[in-house]
Amino acid sequence: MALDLTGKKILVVDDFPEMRSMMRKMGVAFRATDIDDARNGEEATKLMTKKKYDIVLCDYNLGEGKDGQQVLEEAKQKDLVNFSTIFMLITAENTSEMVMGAMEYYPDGYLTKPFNKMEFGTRLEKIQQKKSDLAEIEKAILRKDNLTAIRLCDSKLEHSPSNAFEILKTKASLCEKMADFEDAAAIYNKVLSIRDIPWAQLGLARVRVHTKDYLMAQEMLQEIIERNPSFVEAYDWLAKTYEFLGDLSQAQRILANAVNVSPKAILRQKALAQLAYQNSDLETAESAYKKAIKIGKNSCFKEAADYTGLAKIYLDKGSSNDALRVASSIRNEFKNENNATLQAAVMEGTIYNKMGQNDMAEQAIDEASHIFSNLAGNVPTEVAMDLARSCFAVGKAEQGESLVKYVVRNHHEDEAVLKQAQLLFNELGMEDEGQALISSTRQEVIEINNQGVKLAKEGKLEDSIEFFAKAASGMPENLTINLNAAQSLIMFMQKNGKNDRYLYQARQYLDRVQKTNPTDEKYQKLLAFYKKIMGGK
Amino acid sequence: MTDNKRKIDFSTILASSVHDMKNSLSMVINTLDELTDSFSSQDEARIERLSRLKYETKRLNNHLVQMLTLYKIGNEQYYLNVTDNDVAEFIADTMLAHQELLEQRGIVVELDIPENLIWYFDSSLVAGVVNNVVNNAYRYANDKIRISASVHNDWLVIAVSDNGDGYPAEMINKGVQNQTSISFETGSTGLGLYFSTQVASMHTHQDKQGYLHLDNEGISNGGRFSLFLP
Repeated sequence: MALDLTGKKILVVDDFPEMRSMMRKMGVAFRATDIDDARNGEEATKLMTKKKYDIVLCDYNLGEGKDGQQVLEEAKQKDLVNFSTIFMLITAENTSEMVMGAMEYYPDGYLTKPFNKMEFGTRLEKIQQKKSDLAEIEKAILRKDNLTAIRLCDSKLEHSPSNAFEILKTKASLCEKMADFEDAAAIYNKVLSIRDIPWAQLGLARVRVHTKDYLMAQEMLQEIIERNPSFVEAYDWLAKTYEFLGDLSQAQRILANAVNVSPKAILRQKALAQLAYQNSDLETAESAYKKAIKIGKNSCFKEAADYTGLAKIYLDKGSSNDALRVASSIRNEFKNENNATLQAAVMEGTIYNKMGQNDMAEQAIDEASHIFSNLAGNVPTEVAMDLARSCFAVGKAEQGESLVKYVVRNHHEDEAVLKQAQLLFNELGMEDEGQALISSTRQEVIEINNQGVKLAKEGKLEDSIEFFAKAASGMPENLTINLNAAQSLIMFMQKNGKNDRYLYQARQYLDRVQKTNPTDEKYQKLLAFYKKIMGGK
Repeated sequence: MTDNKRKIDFSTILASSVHDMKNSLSMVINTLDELTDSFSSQDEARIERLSRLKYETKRLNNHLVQMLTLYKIGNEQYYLNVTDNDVAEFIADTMLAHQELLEQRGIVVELDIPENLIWYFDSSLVAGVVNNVVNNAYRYANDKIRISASVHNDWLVIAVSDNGDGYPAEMINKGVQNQTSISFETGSTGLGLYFSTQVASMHTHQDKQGYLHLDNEGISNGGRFSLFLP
């Protein structure tokens, strides 16, 4: 037997004690000595927090609480496992239905019950090999170095490997991430010329969505779903397509179907809740938020926004007490998380305000404002806008205006955000004041930007760097400012050679853009320049 | 509404009980393995009886898998996961689970598969087909099984031959496709053959659809089962 587990740290997760001891015995048979076990996802997470395992053998079905996929998601998201850790999901059924969902993370392999010692050993050994074969690509993806990852895929593909599809799929999704839609489409077409593979069809449809050819995308997605009714990821994209086409009720209908196919997917429940709320379908929104919260209790996708979403619905329905209960529960569910506490406080402010309890409202708003000032740059736009709305409602107009200004400054080219801001003023009957404030704030940002660009054009790169650095600290989320801040640094280094401090700064600005606009064309170009400088002397 | 509800309940029941049954089967199989290890090799009679038990457990498992898969296919819940597969590697992986029992019964397995042959299919489903036919061959072969794979005119043919007495004449005359409306009276081959036909026909490419073929051109006129995949 070739598999040798000497010295490996192994974690076995199964709710069935006999299965745990059986797997332990198998591990020992391959010379493992360091084996821990857990009865459920919660125990597994706890153990993984304390110890970095080399191999995790996790049953998919763990009874109540987290399932194996959720254990994996949490472990990856919270960095509980090393890059090199092998995570194997053990399943009772054929795994094909698990690969069709929209998954952020995949296990390194599956093992289907029942299996004997020999099958266990061979399978694990295979997975080890596969993992080390793809290690370099995975590492590059992990450090978000997409260009290198693509290059590594290409060099693997040159040797026509037996897992060519898998590598082509990885490469195509990297191309999509880099907004290189032509290359992505070419790969999908290549696969489709061999076989009608649903993921390649979906990829092609996704490219249509990215390139805003929504009608074509709609047609393609409908056909994929017709032929593969259980392919839920296609439903997600069809719903998105309808959203882009402005048909929110169709979008909601499609997502509702997808939720029926796979009710445990939390992100989809959230999306359904938001859509239903926009469609004023409070009943569907309420039930979807409740489900998202319930599933979310065991998940790393748990978010305060789900609670405030539900609270808003109660408020709309006139049950302020329920709204307050849900909003306040955020404080318990997300202890010591400032962003969540901020959202709780903002929501409480809104609710008290509607209840006519101005003292309480003011108290909540003060708390929120205090947290906000410490968090600037990391607050979702909607939360900032809600806070502004509450400020106006309790008569703190000045504070409200400064919040709106903050939002506009950070998103001065984002039509959707500007529209929200205008709507807020409209609600207050301050249409004209709002328009004036928004346009003057926009103008202010445009002038700042022009000034910085002028400095760069005149060759005063160091002045431009300093100027944009200041601007970016005042508007940490502004796309244009961050990009230009990075550009002036890159231009300087192109001329005068690289230096560590500027590289670090440029990376920070680029990372901010990566979070919000990863497919931005200018961002992609700057990233390529940045890499070139990194590579050269 | 009530109808709908009943359906949902059944698939939930099915999913959770399969999980349970699979745990039980795992325990049975591994306990049998341990028992086998605990007997000395002189204890042939006992070891043989254990082998027989293992074989039946395996059949039970295969039937469970086939039933569940057919249920899903029937309810449009099955997602056909076609990937590229190295056929030699795929067969070797699948045969791993059979190796011990075949050895125990004194059956020699001969593989005739070219290297680097890549083909496109749902490997879990096709593994189910191969498991089923090898299980049958275990029963009917004299002492030899041959598994071959090759590509002819854009079809992959996986053939499993044995040197037993061959398929009964009426099975061959009827043609496999006509046995899809199976009368389960024919015994052990019923479910497996039905499952295999379904799996074959789910694999389509352009205007071609997969199919099965049975004949008695195996080793020394033994049975030969061929799966054709486009």
